[in-house]
Amino acid sequence: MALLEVRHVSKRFGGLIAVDDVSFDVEEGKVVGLIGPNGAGKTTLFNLISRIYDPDGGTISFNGQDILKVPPHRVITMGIARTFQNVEIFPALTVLENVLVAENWRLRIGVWESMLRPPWVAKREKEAVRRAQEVLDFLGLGQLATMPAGALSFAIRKRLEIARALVAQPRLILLDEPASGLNHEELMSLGETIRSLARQHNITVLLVEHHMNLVMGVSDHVIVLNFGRKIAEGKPEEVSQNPAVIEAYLGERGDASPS
Amino acid sequence: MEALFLAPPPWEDWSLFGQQVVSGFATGAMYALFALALVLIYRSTDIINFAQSEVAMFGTFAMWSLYLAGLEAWQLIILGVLLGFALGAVVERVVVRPVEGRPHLSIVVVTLGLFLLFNSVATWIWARGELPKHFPSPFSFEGVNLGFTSIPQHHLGLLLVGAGVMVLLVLLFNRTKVGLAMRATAQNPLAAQLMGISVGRMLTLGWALSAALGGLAGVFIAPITFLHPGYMLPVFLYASAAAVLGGLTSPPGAVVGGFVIGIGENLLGTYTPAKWLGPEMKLPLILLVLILILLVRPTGLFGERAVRRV
Repeated sequence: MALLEVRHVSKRFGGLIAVDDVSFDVEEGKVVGLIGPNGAGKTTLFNLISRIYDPDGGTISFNGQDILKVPPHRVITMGIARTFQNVEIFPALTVLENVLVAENWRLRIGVWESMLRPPWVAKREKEAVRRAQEVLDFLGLGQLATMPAGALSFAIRKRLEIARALVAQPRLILLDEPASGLNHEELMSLGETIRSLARQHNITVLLVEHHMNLVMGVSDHVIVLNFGRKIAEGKPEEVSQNPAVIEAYLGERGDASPS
Repeated sequence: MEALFLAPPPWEDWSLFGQQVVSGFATGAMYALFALALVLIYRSTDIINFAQSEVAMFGTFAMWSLYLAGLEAWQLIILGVLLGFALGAVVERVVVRPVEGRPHLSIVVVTLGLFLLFNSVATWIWARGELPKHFPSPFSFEGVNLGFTSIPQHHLGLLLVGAGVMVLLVLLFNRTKVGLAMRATAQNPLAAQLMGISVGRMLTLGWALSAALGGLAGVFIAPITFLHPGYMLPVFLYASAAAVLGGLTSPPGAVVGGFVIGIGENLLGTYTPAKWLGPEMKLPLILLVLILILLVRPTGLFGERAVRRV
């Protein structure tokens, strides 16, 4: 059984079929790339897996459980966290508070408990802050902990979003275009971060990315979508030789062309 | 030459001035408490709840019925807060929930509808016989001597309770997990939901807390102004001016705004020339001052400047 199993999933918006009968598996501990030209349905698929949308058909199961049966705010408790293409942070909270929000569901501290702060609650909260600080350090954000998140640069906010997802201690993390807006050095360090998530921390990664060098470099397995349908999947080197994939990309010489 | 002032100018009678400031503080505490309630809703939903005053009035009338049934004044305060909490939660679940996520105007119109509904139902149930009605306070209205002037015990109680509530709210928002979840939800509901926060529950909690505060303000204000279906409306107007002055998002701002408006109202009423401006013109004058302040500081005195990327 794969960690994430997507079966015959479809999603329509009015007349547009954004995702059309897509099936794939994501094996535990792997980095899986999800690529395709603009409008191929990648982000829609993310929104289906994170329960922002309901699919019109098909099933999605995670660790053997049907995720379509849980409400959206419980998805994280199953072990799925994500980031967004356009970065969805809490601008007026500090960097540390942003990641502490992700500890919320795990701490289970009541209102009165946290206002009165008996020692056992204070201890658990301190541990939560320590864990959050560790993750911030891991992503090189430790020095910025007390900064308001809205004041940070786009690249740093993207990293903060990854930090927040990691603090939730997920088994699967969905990264939506983490490389956009990054310079060459930041790209290299992002690649290393993604690899170490899978290899050292055993966190499975599903990655949507237009930056081909990055996807091909870090992925164990690549899935290609075009116009809402899966057109190919396999090892990075197989996929990049696939005629259907080459045609899909050559057909659209835009920002999506392999760079 | 004709006297231009209602009262002797402050430099001729400082004790009158001090007295007006102190009683302004007491009125300001009413506005501050109610402004806090408005800020709570604004922080969690980005709207001004126009039904706020009438929900508080409705709850206070219910407490008045319990007073007739023999309950003590301090029991009415506790029950008033609890009833406010419940009313807020029910209103959010039943009436506001269906229009959530719609344009702000839809929600504002719903709160205007709630204003009329609560006002009409309260008038229908309670506004028979003699109005306004007497409402009891656990404190007396005897003056506590401050040296240069005195302040009624009830007003002092209101000041202390208001200060306590303020501290509790700051602790709730800044020190607790639930407070963090509420702030996160207000800023980015989508991300909050994906972080495991039930957005619906946070909104219900926001409305409930706000109506609980409104209920507290209601039972504290009724002994001063007496109880009738329109008694909270002027408080609502002054309190929304106070909330806007404080920046709409900031609890300390709402409190400072409440005191500024309360003291300003008293001083303007005392020292403006009667020939030009009677006491009827107090409210428009306060609003004029408010507009002038907002021209200089559009985010209010303590408002969070929205940080947005371009």
